[in-house]
Amino acid sequence: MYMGAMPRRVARLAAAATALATVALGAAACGSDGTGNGDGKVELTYVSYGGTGQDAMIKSWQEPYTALNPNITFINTSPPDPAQVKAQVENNAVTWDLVSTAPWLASQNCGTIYAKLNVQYDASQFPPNLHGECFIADFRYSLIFGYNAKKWPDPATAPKTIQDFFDVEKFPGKRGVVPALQDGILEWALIADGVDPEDVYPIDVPRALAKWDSIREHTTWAANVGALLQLVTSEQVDMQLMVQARYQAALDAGTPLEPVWDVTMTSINGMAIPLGAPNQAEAEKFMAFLLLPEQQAKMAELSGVAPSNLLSQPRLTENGEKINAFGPANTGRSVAVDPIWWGQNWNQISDEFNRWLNV
Amino acid sequence: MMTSRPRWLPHPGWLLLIPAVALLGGILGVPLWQSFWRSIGSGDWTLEHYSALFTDGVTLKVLARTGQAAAVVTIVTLLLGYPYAYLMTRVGPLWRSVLVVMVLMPFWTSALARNFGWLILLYDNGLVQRFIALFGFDDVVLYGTAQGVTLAMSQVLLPFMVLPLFSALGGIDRRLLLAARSLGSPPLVAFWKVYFPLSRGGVVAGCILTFTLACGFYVTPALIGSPRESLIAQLLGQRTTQLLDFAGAGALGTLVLVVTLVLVWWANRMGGSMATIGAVAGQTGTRR
Repeated sequence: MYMGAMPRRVARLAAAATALATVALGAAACGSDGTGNGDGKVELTYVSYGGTGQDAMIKSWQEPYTALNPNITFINTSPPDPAQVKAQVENNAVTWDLVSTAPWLASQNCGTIYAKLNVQYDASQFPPNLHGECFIADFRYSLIFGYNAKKWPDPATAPKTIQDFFDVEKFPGKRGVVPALQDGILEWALIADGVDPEDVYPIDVPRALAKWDSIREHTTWAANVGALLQLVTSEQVDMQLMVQARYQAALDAGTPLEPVWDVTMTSINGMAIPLGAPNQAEAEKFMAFLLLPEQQAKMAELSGVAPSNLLSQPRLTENGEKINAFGPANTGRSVAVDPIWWGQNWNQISDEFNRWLNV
Repeated sequence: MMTSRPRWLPHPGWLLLIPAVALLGGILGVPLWQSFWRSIGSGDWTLEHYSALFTDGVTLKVLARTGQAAAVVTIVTLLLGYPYAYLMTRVGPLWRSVLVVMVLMPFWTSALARNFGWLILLYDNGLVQRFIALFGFDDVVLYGTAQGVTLAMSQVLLPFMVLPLFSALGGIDRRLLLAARSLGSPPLVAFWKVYFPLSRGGVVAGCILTFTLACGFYVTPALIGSPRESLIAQLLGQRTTQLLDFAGAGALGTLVLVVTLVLVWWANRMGGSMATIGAVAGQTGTRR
């Protein structure tokens, strides 16, 4: 009768799930021996965040590399879940060759989950200490303080310093932030509290959290960058700490944002190789390629992130140039987040921060 | 459902269960055992991961918050679902189909589409907020709060309440109500003393299903809620994917599993039975 559709649907679903599981198991079983066979053909399994960012990586790094080295092709997948890397390594079943990774994580698990790297690059083309023992900085990004120009249309009375973000008396309004420690939100609060940018490490966590406490009730903590972008473009928040690429997206969508060039946090994104990856040597050669100026520039143009190679000169759009913390637009100061320090202190501070957030 | 009754020698029909048991054992049993094994130190017997849960200052809080949210969702869906299921037993086949389709709608939409839909509805100055403001509540914030998450979860979980209820209510002999009336009982008393006790199996089954599912919700609180008001699944996600603390995550998972099983066991004793949950499939499958 009327309910007849239910169980049949359930049965079909169950059948589909079983089939899927079987296929997945089968694929996993063949995956490990499907690469690197005798005729010099190598398939590198490349794992990143998906979406337009990974599309840009394919266009600016992978396709040119395959054009130069026809025997190297790529299998793309996402997301680059570190828990899965750990599980693969622990079970001696590593199928991933290249994986996007938070640099602190690669530094924290260097030699245990991630392989120590031997990548040939010209160190003089990069800021000092940019690359780590177990990761390369495949691009850089920045965390920019900006506000909605509709809320403060007159530049003379608009927010000008990072102290203004924490001053709800002078600048009432909602603040939007992603609680992502790796982007430098604690360091930034300390600098706003008067700590010299040279002295932020080791981070005085209670002091940084006390600073955030002062605007706690005025802050919307977005679950992730995408959610923050939603809040910003739908004008649910009046000022925000947001990563550079998403500013460009918001500006392109017509949201009237103004960056405040006082202190900007810069971070790197890491690329790493899981310990015991099937094709480590080939993966390292590819890493060396993507660090070249031209590849770095192309990636920046396509995705809105910044190149890690100082020689690379991306041609940015007007909006891209306006919020490029690594270009002439940035008249303020940049402070780099230290992934090595975070690698040593992440777990403890992350727990502490989580407790504070959920009080 | 199957009606074979195996004696000491199993009926050959049981062989049909082998694929299901193998699948469940392989993809559920083995990983479950592994994560429990890790949580007690993978052989180096330790309870530190469990004691950490009680002393880290956040787990118990989030666990309580999750239990509270799940309880609220259960009550809300029960209050909405009971009259709805009752109505389903009282209307003709056409309207019943319409009611079934309406309640099953969340099943047929992608979880992401559904959650993003709620996101748009719950935003500040969104449709829901403006609607509530019509009744004089102008400062209800739903996006990024437990209230908003509860609202969205209630809609998603409604079918799990309505279907067991419908199954239980549909089986109640309405002549008993007539009998009560004829013996002088007012309608409300007849409902409370005759109808409701007969429906208790469905109520308990619906509550168990809704509560346990609500305890494990991840996408909805992650998208609509706030990191400031994490639920237990978010904490689990963080332990696994950010801290790579498989042992700690295993301990947390085990704790949640035990708490849930105890609650289910208790609810089961309260009345109704797990059989009612199975009966939903049974009734809808064979009788109708």
